[in-house]
Amino acid sequence: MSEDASNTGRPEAAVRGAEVDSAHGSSAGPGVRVAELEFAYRRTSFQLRIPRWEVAAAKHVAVTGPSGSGKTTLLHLLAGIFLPDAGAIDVTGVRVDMLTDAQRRRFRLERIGFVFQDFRLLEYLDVVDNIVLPYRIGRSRRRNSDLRERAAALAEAVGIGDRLRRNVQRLSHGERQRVALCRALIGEPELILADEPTGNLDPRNKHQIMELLHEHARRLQATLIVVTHDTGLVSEMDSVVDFKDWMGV
Amino acid sequence: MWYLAWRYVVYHRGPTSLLVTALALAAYLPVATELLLDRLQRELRSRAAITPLVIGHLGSRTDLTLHALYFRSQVPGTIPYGVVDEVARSGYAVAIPLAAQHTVSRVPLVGTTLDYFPFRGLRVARGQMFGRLGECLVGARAARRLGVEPGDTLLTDTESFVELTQYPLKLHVVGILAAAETPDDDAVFCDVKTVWVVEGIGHGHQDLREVDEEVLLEKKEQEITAGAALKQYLEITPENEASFHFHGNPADFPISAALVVPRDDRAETILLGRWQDHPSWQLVEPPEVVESLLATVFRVKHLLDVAALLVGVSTVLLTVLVILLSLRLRASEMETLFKLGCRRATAARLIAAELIFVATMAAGLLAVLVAISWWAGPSLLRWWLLRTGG
Repeated sequence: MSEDASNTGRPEAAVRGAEVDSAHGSSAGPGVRVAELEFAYRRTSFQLRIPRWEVAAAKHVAVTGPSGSGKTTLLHLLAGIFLPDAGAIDVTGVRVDMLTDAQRRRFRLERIGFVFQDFRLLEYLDVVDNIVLPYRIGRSRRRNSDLRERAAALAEAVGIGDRLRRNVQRLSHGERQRVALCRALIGEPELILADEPTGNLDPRNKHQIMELLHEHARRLQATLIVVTHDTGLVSEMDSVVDFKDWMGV
Repeated sequence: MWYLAWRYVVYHRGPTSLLVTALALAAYLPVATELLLDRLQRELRSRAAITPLVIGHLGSRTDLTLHALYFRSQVPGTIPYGVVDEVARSGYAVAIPLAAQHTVSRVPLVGTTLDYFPFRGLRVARGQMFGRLGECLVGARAARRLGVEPGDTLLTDTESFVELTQYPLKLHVVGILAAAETPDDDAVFCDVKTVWVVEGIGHGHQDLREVDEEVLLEKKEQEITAGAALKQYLEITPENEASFHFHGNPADFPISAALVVPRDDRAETILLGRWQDHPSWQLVEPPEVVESLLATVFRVKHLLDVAALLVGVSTVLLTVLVILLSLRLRASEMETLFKLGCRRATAARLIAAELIFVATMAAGLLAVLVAISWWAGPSLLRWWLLRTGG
């Protein structure tokens, strides 16, 4: 991690309540800032271009758009999983595009919480071990008992407190997404990225998961960016970005 | 990392067990062969080294030597007890007869003389040395296996590898030998005359002068002939011992071999020269026979070494293939780890830790297998060697 990145603290409370952005909007505060972003996959015609996009810290934003428009790619760029071909990506005051590979990995572990559509849980671990996975792979020096206590508290908060020692293979879809949610929240991230988090869930679980996302993002004062096709879920968002607005730019 | 690796190994315990077993078995073959043959050759050489010469029927030198050392291999034929006297009369050596044609509950019954025990350094741990017809001493392991103590009795097997005997003889256990960690521990010893009784050459029966007339077939002044109804004794007791007698000349009675202990090197050379062209008997040097046998065994071992090398290489290649296929199957898992922020080095350490667990478990299983082989292997190898006739 670079000095620049490691010294950057959590978003100040002052940036909360900043105006909601539109696809072309702007706002103050070190939430997410993208400028002149360009990205293309090799040997494909896909191309993502975002001239300018800003999300104020602690805001909850839905990203919608047609399939293949680049919504998931955008989340990967924000998380530092992909590097842009051009442009700048500033996340919580850190220029992600300027970090080395190792710095981006550490940045993800320390500042990003990622919720995937297909849960992406490790089948050979139980609920607790999946929740604390980011610490295990991040060579954390935290005590094992402390981690487990936090994981148990989080699991309790999302309603799976009685499933801690159960293997994730034996959980329902709704329960698995709760585990994935806990894994994203265990590091108290400043930015929560959720890629179609309700895509595999029934209507009841959809709303519960979204409520939990909002609730915990608010508790952590974290910025929440949710990619979704489901227009029914965007009503509780501070703003909605439609990728159609960027297409053809 | 170690914890995650352990959880992975435990969760996939089925495939992991297969991999561990395959690795352990591939390593076991050469390791066990080396250890067991090393132990076997030491044991064979040590017993042969203190058995200078063996005399027996002409035929396989290996069979004769193994029979004299281990009492189990078949001999080409018996030799008359007179050979022992002949060696003794020569003045060059002491001869100790071995009549090991019969068994007691599948344990070799060795008829010999009292000279055998000091020669092999054997001592009685419990009870006393046999002194009368029908008494026996039992080796330490054989006593445990048969569950006998002094005062107990044993029945000889009715089927020997020489011929079918009509009746079993009840032997009285008078002593148990101290453990010597040699084949003597696995045998039952008695006087050579007792074996002749088992053989049917000697027997005891009712006094013909006192039996009912209907038992007798013919009665002359000097000769009485009895029929099958005459009661034969199947146990030698103080009461009937006097009735036991042998028909024929003891010099013609059979023994399977005799240990020959020359007075010195010169006596040994003279004896070897004297017996080398005998038409019926042969005098062999066990150390030389054992070396020849081991040479054959080690030629086979070289083939086994090559086979083990090929098995080892193919196992390693298969293991690499399994790991590569496993990594392909785990691509999604690895992608998840990377997306969460895992470094490539950390993922590599995770895989390495899993392999270390597998290798450690394989080594543990290998150690158990080797320990079992170390414990039971020499007996198994000796059994195999004797069954296959060396």
